Amino acid sequence: MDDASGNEDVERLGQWPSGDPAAFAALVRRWQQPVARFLAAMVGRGDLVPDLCQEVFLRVFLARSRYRETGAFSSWLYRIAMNVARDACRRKRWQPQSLPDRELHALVPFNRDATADRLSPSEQQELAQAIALGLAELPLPLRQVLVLRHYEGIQFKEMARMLGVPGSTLRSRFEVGMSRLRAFLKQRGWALEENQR
Amino acid sequence: MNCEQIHERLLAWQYGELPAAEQTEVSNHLAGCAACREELSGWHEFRHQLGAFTGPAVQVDLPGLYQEAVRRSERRARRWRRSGLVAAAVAALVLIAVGLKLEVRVDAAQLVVRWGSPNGREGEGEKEQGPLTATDSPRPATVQAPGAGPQVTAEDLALVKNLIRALAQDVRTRDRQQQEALWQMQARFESFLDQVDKYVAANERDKAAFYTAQFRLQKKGDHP
Repeated sequence: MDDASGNEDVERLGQWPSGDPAAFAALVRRWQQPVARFLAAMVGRGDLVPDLCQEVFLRVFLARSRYRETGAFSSWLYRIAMNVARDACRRKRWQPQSLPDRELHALVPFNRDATADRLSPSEQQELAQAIALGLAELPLPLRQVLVLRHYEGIQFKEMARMLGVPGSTLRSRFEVGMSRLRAFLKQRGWALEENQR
Repeated sequence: MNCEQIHERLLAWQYGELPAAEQTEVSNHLAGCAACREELSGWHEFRHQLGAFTGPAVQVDLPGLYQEAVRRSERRARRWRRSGLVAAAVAALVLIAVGLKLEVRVDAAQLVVRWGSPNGREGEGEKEQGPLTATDSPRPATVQAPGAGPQVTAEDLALVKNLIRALAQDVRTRDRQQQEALWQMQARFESFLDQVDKYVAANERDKAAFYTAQFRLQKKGDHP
C-alpha cells in the first residue's frame, strides 16, 4: 500500500461526509476488487463474494462518521471486511473448506497478467484454481495473514494493530502459511524445474 | 549469519519486514552466495505464481447500497425510539417510586404496598393499602430498620418501659387470678371425692342389708 494512494483515500473520505457522492464512488471503484479478492480468499465461496462485497461497502458507508484518520483507510476497510466474512461464516454455519474443482471454476477467473508469461491461459486458470484450493486448505489465522500481507500489502506492524496480535507472531504465521501453500502447489505439480528458472 | 539463518529470513527480506540491519546483512550475503540466491529465486517464482489468484470480478451496486443505507438508518432510528420509550417508562416508574416513597414487600403471605412518609402519624400523610391477598389476618406492623426511621427520644423509651411494666403487672394479676381459680377447683374436687366416698359407703350398707334379708328368707324356706 503506497502512501500516495493512502493519502488519496483520506482526501476522499474527507470530502465524502460533506455530501460528495463522487468521493465515495471513487473509493468504491478503488477498493472493490481488492476487497472481493480478500473475501474470496477468506470465505472460499465465489458465489457469495458479490453480496458480501456489497455488505462491506454498505457498512463502510454507514460507519463513515466513526472513521478516524489515525490509521490507514485500508486497515479500517479490511477490518470491516473481516467482520463481514466472519459473520457470513457464522450465519451460514459453515467454515471455509476445500472446494470441488467445479466450484473453483466459478470462483477464480482467468488473470492473464498475473503469472509467468510462459503459461498458457488455461494453465494460468488451473494455477489460480490450485491457489484458491491451497488457500482454502490453510487454517484461518494463517490464511488471514497471508492474504493481508501478500495480496493486500498490509505490513505486519499495521496488521498487529488491526488484529491485536504481536507482529512477531504474524510474521511466523505468514512464513508457515507461505511454506504450506508453496508445498501444496509443488505437490500439485506447480513447482518449476531448476532449469526453467 | 550462515546460509540457514539467511534462508529463515528470505521471505521477510523480500517483503521488507526485517529490521534495517538484518535487511542489509541479508542483502550483502545474497550478493556473495549463489546457493541462497537460488533459494531466493524459488520464493520469487512462487510469489509470482500467487498473482494468478485475483478473486471474482465484482461491481458494487451504488444505488442499491444507498437505498439499503436509508432503510437501515430508518430501522436503527425506530429501534432507538423504542429503546428511548422503554427507558423513559422505566425512569418514570423509578421517579414515582422514589417520589411516593413506595414500599412493596411480602409479609406473612400478604403483599403489602405502602407509600407516603413511613414516620408520619397514622391517617396523616401515611396510607397503607393491603393486604392484597384474600387473608383476614391483621395488618403487619411496620418495622423500621435501625437508622432508617425517626430518632428515638427519652420519652419514647420511658413510654416503652411503662408499657412493659404494665404488661408484667397484668401477667402477675392474671397469674394470681388463675391460681385462685385453681385452688377453688381443687377444693370442689376434694368435696366431690368426700361425697363419692359417702355415697359408696351408703351403697355398701344397703347392699349388705339386702343380702342379709334375702339369706334369712331362703333359710326359712319362704319364697318372696
